Amino acid sequence: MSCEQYQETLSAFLDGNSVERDAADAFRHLAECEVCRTFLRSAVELQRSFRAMPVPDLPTRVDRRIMQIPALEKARQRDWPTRLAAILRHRFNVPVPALAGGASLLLVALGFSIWLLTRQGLVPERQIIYVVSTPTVEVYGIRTASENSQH
Amino acid sequence: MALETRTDEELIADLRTGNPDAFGELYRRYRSPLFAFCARMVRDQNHAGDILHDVFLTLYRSAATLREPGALRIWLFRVARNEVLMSARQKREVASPDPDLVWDAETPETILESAEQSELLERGLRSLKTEYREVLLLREEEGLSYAEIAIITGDSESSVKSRLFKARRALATLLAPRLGERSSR
Repeated sequence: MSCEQYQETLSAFLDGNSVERDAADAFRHLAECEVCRTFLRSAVELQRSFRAMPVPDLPTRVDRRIMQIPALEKARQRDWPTRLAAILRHRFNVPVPALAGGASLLLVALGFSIWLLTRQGLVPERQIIYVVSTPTVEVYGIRTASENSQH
Repeated sequence: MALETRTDEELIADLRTGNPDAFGELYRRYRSPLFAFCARMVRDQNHAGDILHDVFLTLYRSAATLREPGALRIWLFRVARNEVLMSARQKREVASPDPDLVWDAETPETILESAEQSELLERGLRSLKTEYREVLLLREEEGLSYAEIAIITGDSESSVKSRLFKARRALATLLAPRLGERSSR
């Protein structure tokens, strides 16, 4: 085994992850290798230094921002039109103004159709009461039922 | 039952029912180790704060679908690590083509100019390449096992063992002259 392999075993030994027989071989090797002894000393010191390393301070504004997540997420869930617009825009690549224009046109077409249907629905209440024929023109007239009753 | 005594699994169950206090308790439990990990990985505390925010936002949104709430700690570190790597990619940090190269930012010579050993370690750590820095932090600071680190990084345990050794050897070599100074005093 090379020094590098022994050192890798020693590194794993420090983590409690070495195979017992490999660790025993590595420790036998330590008795005759100054390089590996220096590595082990430095690795142990490194572990100590890590424990002494100061923990970075978490800025207060980050605390505040993160603690607001539940409230902001609930508000976001309530605001479904905005979310729908965001989904349409980002997932389906449909811009909201185009979508609004399309929806408006659809509404106008729907209204016009209803108006036409309603208008047709009035016809049965009317009766054709006269037909005037001339040699060139035929004129049809319609009256409502109430107008008809007056005649 | 007081929130402090509840397990992660129970707190996740509470969070699923919409209890914001459960979220607060989970944040209190994991804020410091996650922030330390992020801050040492991205080398910028403000940026680390943003990443920490994204990690807990992901937790809040994923609480309902979390498959193993009992392994929350590992899951959080995995999310944090992915966020760190994603932000590094966005900053166009290009990895060195040589996979055996351990140092990233500074060279050992410039790092050795540091006066204090803790500063030396911090600078040395900051200068390690991401893949070496992350395993060392997860092992030395968080005390995670090779298996847990392998889950977080998506590598094999033998790869974790090897990277950990190389990172340790690089930093140990860096610290060795200072150790010599200390032992000779």
